[in-house]
Amino acid sequence: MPAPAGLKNRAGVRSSNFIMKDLIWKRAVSGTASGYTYAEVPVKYSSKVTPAVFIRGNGQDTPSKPDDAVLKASFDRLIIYKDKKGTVYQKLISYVPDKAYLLRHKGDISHNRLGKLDKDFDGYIFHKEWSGKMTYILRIENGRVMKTIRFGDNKRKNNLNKVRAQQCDWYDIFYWYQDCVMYNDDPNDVVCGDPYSEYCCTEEYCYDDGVNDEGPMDCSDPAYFGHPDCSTDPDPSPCGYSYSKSGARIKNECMEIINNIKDPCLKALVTSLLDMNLNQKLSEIINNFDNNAIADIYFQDSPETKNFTPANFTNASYNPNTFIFKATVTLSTNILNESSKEFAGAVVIHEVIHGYFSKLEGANELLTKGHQEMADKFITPMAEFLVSEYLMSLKDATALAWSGLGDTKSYSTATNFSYNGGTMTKEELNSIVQAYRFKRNGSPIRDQNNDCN
Amino acid sequence: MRKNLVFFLFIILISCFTNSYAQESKASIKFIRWFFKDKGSILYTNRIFSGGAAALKKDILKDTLKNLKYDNENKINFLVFTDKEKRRLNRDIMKIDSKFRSKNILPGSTLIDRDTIDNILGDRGFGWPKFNERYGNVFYSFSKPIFIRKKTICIFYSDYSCQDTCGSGELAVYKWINNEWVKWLIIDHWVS
Repeated sequence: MPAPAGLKNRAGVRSSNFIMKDLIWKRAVSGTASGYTYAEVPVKYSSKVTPAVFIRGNGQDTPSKPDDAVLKASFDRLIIYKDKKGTVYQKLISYVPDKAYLLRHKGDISHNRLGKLDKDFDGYIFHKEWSGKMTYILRIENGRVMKTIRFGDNKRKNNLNKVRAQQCDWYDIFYWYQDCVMYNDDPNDVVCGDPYSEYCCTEEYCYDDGVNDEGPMDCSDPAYFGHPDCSTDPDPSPCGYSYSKSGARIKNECMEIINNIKDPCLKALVTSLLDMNLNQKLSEIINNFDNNAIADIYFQDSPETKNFTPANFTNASYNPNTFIFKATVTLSTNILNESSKEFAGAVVIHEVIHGYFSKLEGANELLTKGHQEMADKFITPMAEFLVSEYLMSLKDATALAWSGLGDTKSYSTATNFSYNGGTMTKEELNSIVQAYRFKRNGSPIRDQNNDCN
Repeated sequence: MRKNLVFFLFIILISCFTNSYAQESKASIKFIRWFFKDKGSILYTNRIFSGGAAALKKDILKDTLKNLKYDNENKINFLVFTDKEKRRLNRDIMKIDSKFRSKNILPGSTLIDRDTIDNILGDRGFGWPKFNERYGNVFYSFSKPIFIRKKTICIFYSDYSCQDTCGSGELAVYKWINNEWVKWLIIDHWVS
């Protein structure tokens, strides 16, 4: 494993040890995957460290400086995961995008998560120990793993089936350091100085006819938690169409949300919910898709909607010839700009669930059934989502989740509504909803200067 | 001469009024009663939401109305208006959100003035709770039906509201087939 001339192989250990790491717990997200429960927590450093890959060859031996936008958009997360026996592990993951992919997403890729990458994600994901020592690197193209470059012990443990390789590449890893200041613990609100580099390590990647020669991975090794090849979960289909190797178009049962909202604050609110993987979470909850349609849900805004409603789900249509379902959600700027973010968030989630239901039913069936199903199955997931997004109490979130379900039997016959840890009366529930509806509680969408919160 | 002219205009005015009223009291009311026949006793308003005519005009005043839903053969039904029908619709649609004169369109149900609802739900901070306390959980609204082709086709909007994000409405075209109304085209459907 030769290092480039003039550089000492540090295997990444020293490089990160003198950097102070801190965790932004309030932005942590959690989930379950491959038999583990896990939390993904953003990391901030006294100096930002961005790993970059340089592939030697073609007469190039000097790594070029990564693009400033790529350095700015790259980020680290700590993954804490627990297996069924209760053993807890942790690892650091660095997400480093390719520039073209980054430009397509307007410089922000922070919505990507472990196992839930954009369908067009191009770049590298570095898996490291907490010390910074490299475990393996994933080369991702179109959201899928193209190469797994394993390091050190990790590699030796897995290359028992090594075949005779025809070609090898040398991957040099450099760390790019930047002195940064992060405001409000917001990884998107960071100002950094000029980057400077330090060599980390080099690894050889050999392959034969495009097939990695390192043999199968030992997926029982917790180090491979999060590696797509070791996932035991159903593959979440990307939204829209995909193409087979022969070029045939394949329909994926999924839903794409197109944010056409003009009002900047409402647009940001919907974007924030989508960044929290609202779409994915709902599709996980509604796991009984059967009409194999692609759904395009257009979000737009208008001063008013029909009948004093904060939002309308309308124009639902399904074309069985193209397998495309379309619908529009119109948000009322007059009402929602006078509401709290929590209320508006609950409204958006409510309408997106309508989207799933009407997609399932082939559009424009009367949707009172949808409300009843929401009341039966979605109160807790909706409330938990609101809690994670807005850090509100479960009681208030549960009340907001019930908002809009007044035409259901569950609501009309109930006198008390339960949530994990307590109950509330119908009057109490309505009072909570109205307080968020009219900004007497929660965070206003706009501040006193009319700027977005 | 002038007296004759005034009398002539008066007769025309009375004629228009009685025709309009007659339509509401016969075909329209018959249609509305058919529409709500399975709903039982409901709370309903005497007109649809403010600005309803302008909102529905965009959906109705087209050369062709297409169904949102495909039929069993994956085809879509549609209605093409004649020029005469379009002129008629252009006139009638402005009355689609005007108040009903009759106070007993739906016997056994309760009528509430739309202005009362607008005042309660426009009352910031006390909207739906106050409504629930005084009137119940749900109210229905519906437009004046518009008939064309010798009353064999009817364009009708109806909705109901139950909370801030609870309600549904539909603009549809109904066809008189084998002595009964059948929902033929769904032009717009919303849910909240």
